[in-house]
Amino acid sequence: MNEILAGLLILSGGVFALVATLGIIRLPDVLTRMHASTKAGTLAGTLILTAVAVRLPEISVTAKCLAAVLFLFLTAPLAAHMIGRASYRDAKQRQEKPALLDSVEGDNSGDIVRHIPEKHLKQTQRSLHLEPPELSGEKSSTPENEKPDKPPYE
Amino acid sequence: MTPEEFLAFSIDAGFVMVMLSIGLGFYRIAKGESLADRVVALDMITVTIVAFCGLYAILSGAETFLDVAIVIALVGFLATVAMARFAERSVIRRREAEREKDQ
Repeated sequence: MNEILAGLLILSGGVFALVATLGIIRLPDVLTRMHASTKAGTLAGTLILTAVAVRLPEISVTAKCLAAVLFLFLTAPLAAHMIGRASYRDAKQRQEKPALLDSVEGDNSGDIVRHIPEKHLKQTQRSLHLEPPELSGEKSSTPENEKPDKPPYE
Repeated sequence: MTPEEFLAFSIDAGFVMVMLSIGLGFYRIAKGESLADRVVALDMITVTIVAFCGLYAILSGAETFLDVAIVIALVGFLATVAMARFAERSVIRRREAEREKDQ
């Protein structure tokens, strides 16, 4: 019983580690990659350390596993917060084409929150039900009086 | 399949998945695009190495590897914070340099 539980925990931990890596490779920008790695990665480490505690039932092993898991849970949000702040300031500085506009109170001057590469821009805006931004010098392709009732994503 | 065989299979499969995850994390470090991307990948690799140490503790039955896991988690957290501070400071420095150039 002990072995089966530990094996299941190890397998799910390995799957979550793979999911975290898949997110790091496939997702379009820094903040979404961070979202994948912080949560799924921490869960992978936690599951495997729990498997150690299940497999080696001694007080000292359990205490060490608990300490490592607590440490992971304490530090993952801190590290993610610092990386997120750094990339937020970096995106503001680069002034790329706006993907999503800032809606933070007191900072609504149209600052760029996220930098999304060109090829993902349309899809992200569609999935968030946003109209594409009006860029200076470019006319909207749909005339004003023929605006469709249905949103463009349907 | 006896429980011992299942555990041995799980440990092997876990090693494969964890090593694959570390290797693919290095792809993101190499490709990058920005410093923050690399720091995120490094953070993920650190947590995955902690999981690797846990797997090795099960395989060998030696609890010393858990000490290694704790120390790696600690050092990895410090490295991530330091790299994030560095990325943030470099952005601010660049902005100040451009402001001085404009004046």
